[in-house]
Amino acid sequence: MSVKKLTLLAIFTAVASIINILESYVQIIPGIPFKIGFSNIITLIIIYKYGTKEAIITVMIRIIVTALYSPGTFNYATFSLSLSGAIFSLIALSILVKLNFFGITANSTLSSLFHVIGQLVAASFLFTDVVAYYAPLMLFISIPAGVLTGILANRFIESTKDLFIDKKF
Amino acid sequence: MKKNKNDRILIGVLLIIFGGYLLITSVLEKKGEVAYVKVDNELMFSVDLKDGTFKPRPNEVVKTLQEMPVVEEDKLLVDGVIQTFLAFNQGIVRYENLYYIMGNLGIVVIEYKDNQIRVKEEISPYNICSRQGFSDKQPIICLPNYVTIEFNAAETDVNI
Repeated sequence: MSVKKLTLLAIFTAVASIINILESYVQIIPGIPFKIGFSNIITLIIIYKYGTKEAIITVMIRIIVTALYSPGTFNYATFSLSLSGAIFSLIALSILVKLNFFGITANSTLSSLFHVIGQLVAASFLFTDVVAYYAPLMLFISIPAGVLTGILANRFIESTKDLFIDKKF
Repeated sequence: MKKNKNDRILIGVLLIIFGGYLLITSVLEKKGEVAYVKVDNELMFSVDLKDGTFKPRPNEVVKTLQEMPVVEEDKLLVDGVIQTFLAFNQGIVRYENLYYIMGNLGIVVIEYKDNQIRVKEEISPYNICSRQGFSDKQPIICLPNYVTIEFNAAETDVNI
């Protein structure tokens, strides 16, 4: 691993963690704990530019950092929700990137859909009946959210092509 | 270009499927008649939304107060005296239409008013459930406190 790659991955992880922490204070729809998931932009960039292994490591670091930074004591319930969502979406995303059938926007949409599915699976262990009420709405909102993050990640990758080239000094 | 077309078709199909699913469920949705307060996925008590009838689970200890208690984080004070009566998922303190129970992080105050129910006060990082306000069909979830309020139509609705 070159120094440049290591540094860039560290910066990306830090930025994703900060986005994630800031986002948890914003409620888009009152009463529904739903986030657009802007930190997923970073995950998409890393998986497209470096690979699955790097994406998994950065996402896991991001989740742990975010859980430790949230006010109050370490919360098992919220941590398990974000962890299972991340595992589901990362598995879906890595398979989709390998298949190379869809573009980045559709891959982002499907992975955000799988993120919600993962969260609902974890939530069904914690609260059985509430999941049925939230499932349709959460699944539907995850589609425009995934499209948005996909478009933003695509724009970043298109406009910073020479950022990822390793130069010899 | 081919990928671009694939993307648009996929996103369109997904929007139609989940939009339809959302539409159908929101049309079929009914207003709740009974609110069930659950702690750690276990029913603790229920409140009838029509008249506010309070029904605790069997063998639950309920203490009814005559004056309003003061909540200080994880302590409940009546006349300046700390009540050590509540524990997580154990014990209900009642004052008129206010119910005090102990969540994972501290005391959760639930209020019934005008056929609706809300979480009035709780201790959590983002206060999502108390900011949600009154509700009679959308479930209230206090994730850090393991407290949920769910709504159900009365059983008699099932018979045609």
